[in-house]
Amino acid sequence: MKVEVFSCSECGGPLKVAVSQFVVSCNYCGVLYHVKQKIPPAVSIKSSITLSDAKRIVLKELKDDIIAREFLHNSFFEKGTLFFIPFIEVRGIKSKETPLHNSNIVEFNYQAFDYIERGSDLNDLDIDFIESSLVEESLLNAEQKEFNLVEMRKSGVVLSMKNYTFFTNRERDAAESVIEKHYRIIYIPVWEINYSYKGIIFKSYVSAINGDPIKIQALKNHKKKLFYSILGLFSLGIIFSRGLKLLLFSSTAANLGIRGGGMFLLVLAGSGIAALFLFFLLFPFLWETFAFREIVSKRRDGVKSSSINYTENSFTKFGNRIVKRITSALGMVKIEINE
Amino acid sequence: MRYSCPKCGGENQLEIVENEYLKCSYCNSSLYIDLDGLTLVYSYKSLINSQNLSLHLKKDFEKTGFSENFKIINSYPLYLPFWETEAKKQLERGNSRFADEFINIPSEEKKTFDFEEAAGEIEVLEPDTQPESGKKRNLCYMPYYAVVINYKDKEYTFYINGINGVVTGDPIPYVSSDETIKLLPLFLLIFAAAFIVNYFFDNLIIALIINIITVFILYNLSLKKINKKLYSK
Repeated sequence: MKVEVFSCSECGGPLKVAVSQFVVSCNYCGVLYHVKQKIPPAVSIKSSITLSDAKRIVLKELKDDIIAREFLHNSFFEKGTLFFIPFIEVRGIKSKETPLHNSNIVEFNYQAFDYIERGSDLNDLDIDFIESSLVEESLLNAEQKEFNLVEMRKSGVVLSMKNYTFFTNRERDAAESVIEKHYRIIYIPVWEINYSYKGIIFKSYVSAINGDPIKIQALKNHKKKLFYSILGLFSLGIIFSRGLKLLLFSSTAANLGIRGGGMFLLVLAGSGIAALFLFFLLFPFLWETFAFREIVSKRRDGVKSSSINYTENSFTKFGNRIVKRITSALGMVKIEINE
Repeated sequence: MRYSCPKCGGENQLEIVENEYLKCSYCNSSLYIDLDGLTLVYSYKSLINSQNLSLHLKKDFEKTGFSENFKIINSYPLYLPFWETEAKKQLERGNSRFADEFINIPSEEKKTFDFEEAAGEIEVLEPDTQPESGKKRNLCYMPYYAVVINYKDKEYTFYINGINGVVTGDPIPYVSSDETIKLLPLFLLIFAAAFIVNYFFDNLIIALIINIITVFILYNLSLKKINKKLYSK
């Protein structure tokens, strides 16, 4: 552990301070000191969006065709939290060696570089992405404030710096022949708006700098999928009725001699059972692939959706198992069935 | 910066226990160095038995209608920090890992927090929030149990209050199985309609027209029914 030695301002005695220590006491006179550790300079971007503004922005985004209209009317606002997300701005100069043509002389070029790194892994939030473009935009347009942890903590939650690699990646710097490197931490304010629908919590994120929606989460509009599933069921009905008619009244059926009272009932019952069997096979598929409860998240880079895990009942369990067996037997998918 | 004990005013009796936790050897109170001053630290005693954690969870889940089986993977006691301010009659959360912003003040008496004794066996979380109002404030450590459960290959963490058993945490995404099975007759009706229309109409053009009309009617009917089933309370 690296230890630095200072002297006490009261009695002049030595003070030993370790790297991770925050409080130190003088061994001679007992005076306590609060140690401020050396960290890179930090700024926070001023948040101009209030909670009610953020709520209004989320509501406006929810009024969209891809989002179920009923969701908007039946979901309830839970809470809104302001998060300060740390980003690291790195600026520096590196040298580049390029040999000149047909000679042993090497030319040196100095190049300035700058990039933005994420300071936190965002595990505490429901977003795994925030593009650096958002930070760049905000650095150009928004007002920068002095870093004041007390004030920031009063208005929201300050995410801790978890990405310490930038302090120690000296090997990479040596490989790139970096001459000078400076760091600055930038805290970006982001609103998290929580609303619940039937016990399921949805989280949306809005930039508190300019009110840009980062991610909007809601239930997907199911109308299109309902239409396709009805069409699918309808065509299944058509196929069965036509097939049955062909079997009963065509000449091939007459030749085979299966026209009569008892046989008619037998075929009807058989095709009915087959139709029911196929239908129960289809039913879990409908809910898996045509899930009406589907979460849609509108992001800056496009729309992504995922289905909610609904609880299985005995019917769907049975169907799923059969579907999995058939598909795995055909070599379509390899799924291990855990019973 | 020089510090003095907010309780007795003593300056030279402060001892470091760990990092930002101090102890006043004169009045025996424990202290925490916050960003803007020293605060007294108190704690409450846990009353709940750790064997009854699943019962408290089940009781809480029943309120939302969730009655499925779940598996407790991990459970451990921990001390969560809360701010006690003069302005508010509730305790404000001191760590942002906790979901609720305010909790009620328990009727039990608080004791001086002994960091050395507590940190030996139980995890003590450091505060990372700042109450909005009131410079005069105390830090209160509440005994909690963190319970991690596994449901459908996903992990959910809940915090159970060690004094009154109140459960805090995001609810499990859950849709009751009745709703999916209720739509079964609707789909059977659609299948039967297609079957009947096409069995009794020999003329292909007439059958096609009737098919289109029935699909249109059934779509609008089921849309209403599904909206009612899935989206109304």
